[in-house]
Amino acid sequence: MIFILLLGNSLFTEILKRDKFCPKGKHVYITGGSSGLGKEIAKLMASKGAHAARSREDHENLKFTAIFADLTDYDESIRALNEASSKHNGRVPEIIFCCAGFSLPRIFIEQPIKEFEKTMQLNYFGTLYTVHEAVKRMAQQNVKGKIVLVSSLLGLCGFIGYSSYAPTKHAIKGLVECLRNELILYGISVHGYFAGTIDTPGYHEEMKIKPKVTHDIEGDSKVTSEHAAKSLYNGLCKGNVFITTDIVGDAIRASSLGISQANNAFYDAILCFIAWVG
Amino acid sequence: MTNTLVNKLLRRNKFQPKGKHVYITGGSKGLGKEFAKLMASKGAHVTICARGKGDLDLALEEIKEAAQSCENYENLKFNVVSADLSKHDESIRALDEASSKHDGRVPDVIICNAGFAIPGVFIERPMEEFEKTMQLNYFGALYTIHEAAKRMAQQGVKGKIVIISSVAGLCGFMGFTSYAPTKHALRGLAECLRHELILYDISVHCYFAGTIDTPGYKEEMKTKPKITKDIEGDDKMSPKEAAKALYKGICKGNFFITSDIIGDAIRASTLGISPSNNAFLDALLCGITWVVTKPVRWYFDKMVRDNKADYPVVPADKIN
Repeated sequence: MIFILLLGNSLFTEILKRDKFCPKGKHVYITGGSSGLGKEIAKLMASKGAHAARSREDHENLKFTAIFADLTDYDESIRALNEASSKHNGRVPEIIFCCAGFSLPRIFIEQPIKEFEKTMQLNYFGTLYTVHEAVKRMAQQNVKGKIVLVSSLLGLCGFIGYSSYAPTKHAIKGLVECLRNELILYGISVHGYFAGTIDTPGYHEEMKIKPKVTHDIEGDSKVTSEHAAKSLYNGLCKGNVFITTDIVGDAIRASSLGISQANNAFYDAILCFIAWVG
Repeated sequence: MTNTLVNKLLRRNKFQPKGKHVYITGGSKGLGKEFAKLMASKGAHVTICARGKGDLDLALEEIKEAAQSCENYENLKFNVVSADLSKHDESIRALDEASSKHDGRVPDVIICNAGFAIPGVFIERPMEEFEKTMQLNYFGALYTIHEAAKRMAQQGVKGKIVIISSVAGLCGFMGFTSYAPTKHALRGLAECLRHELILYDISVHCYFAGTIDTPGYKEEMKTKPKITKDIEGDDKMSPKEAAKALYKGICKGNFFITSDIIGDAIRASTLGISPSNNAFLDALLCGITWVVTKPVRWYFDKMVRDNKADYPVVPADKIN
């Protein structure tokens, strides 16, 4: 009986949620937008007719802007948002993608404390500074915007080598969970992207120092930035709160839901069961 | 089911505090103090670390009293260390001081409990609060664990690290945007370390406590939005009960430990690839949670939606 209810509810919700994301004519602001996932998201948004704060040739009435800022610094984050908004009559961007982040995988007791601090400062605070200010302005300007935070599968689980990185991505998950509920106050939607391994310049930097056992556990499976951007876009169009890139990611997501929103309750329940056994 | 029974038999009584040195941060009040007393009553040497010397001295008396009935009471060492654990060098100094009373040997059991919360409306709270909360709750734990794990590995001490997270490290809702990320970060750290510290035979536990009636909790209530209070509810436990639940979980050898059934339900349904405590029961709990979770979340969202008027925002054109 519950099985049928779950299936029925899922089908109904799928139909209701479709095409919830329309970037055309909107101002999209992307941190970490100069390479990897951020760059591909910018290109994708531009191709869908959005104004993108990322460098590209001008296209009729669309505005494309590049801003240089150190987002680990609070004042710089505000300045960057100001610069972006100034090109749109002071209106806060409608869609914020926080992609800026990096990872230094090392053996825990060998890793200098400074690396833990730097990683948290960019991955979490670099996101928080922008989101805090942007949400404030969206609420004040009555812009029913969208916030997309890029976490990682390492924001849902953890293993050897990632003790400086996984906590920062877990912190992003915690922020997504709280904001999803709280920003209902202002009509702002929130999404978290739990990407698997993406083949980016950042990934190649990681590989120089990654412990062998970490690499063995991770495996070699990775996706291109283009594919990762498309998965994120598809997830946003479906209105999913927690978005992943592939079936493994989906299985981990489904089995760590807690009270968070399932994407498709029926499918997630099956995945969760398989993940339990696996 | 068989697998679960076998596991339970194998894991029983994995924790013997008698004669061990237990080091507790945030040990002068609340959960930290009660756990210190519990450890003392089981015959452990205890060092508590916190900022306020006055509170530490008061707690020390209670800890000594708790150990009175132990047969090895005369040999037990109880010490206090005053330090600001949000600073790296202070955390190292505190560990040094604690170890100096035991011939330089690193404590056998590290309980990272120091932490606080300042709940509030996201856009109204100043950024300093987010930074300070992460600095103590996460880095305050990391600094101690990093140094302690290094020394345990160097000295061949097959120790135990216990990280105090929270149910807010497994889920999140309005009002806790400065707190939940810090407790989620601790979960992430616990998961990585549980796996990595197998290298040195150091065991790791993570406690997802529910609401505990502590002096810290009373401070929180001063800034907590009404919606947050309504969502949380009034259910809370005493620090003594919370300490007992933690102790039981460690004795059972559980990696993820919770204090009540709701915490357990959320834990069971957010396991991902983490170890379950009892695969059979956890699967049941997870199944029940799945059914209950959607209406619960709808209810939380409805509370925010219905109370929008209580959280007005000054429109942009009216700001000077």
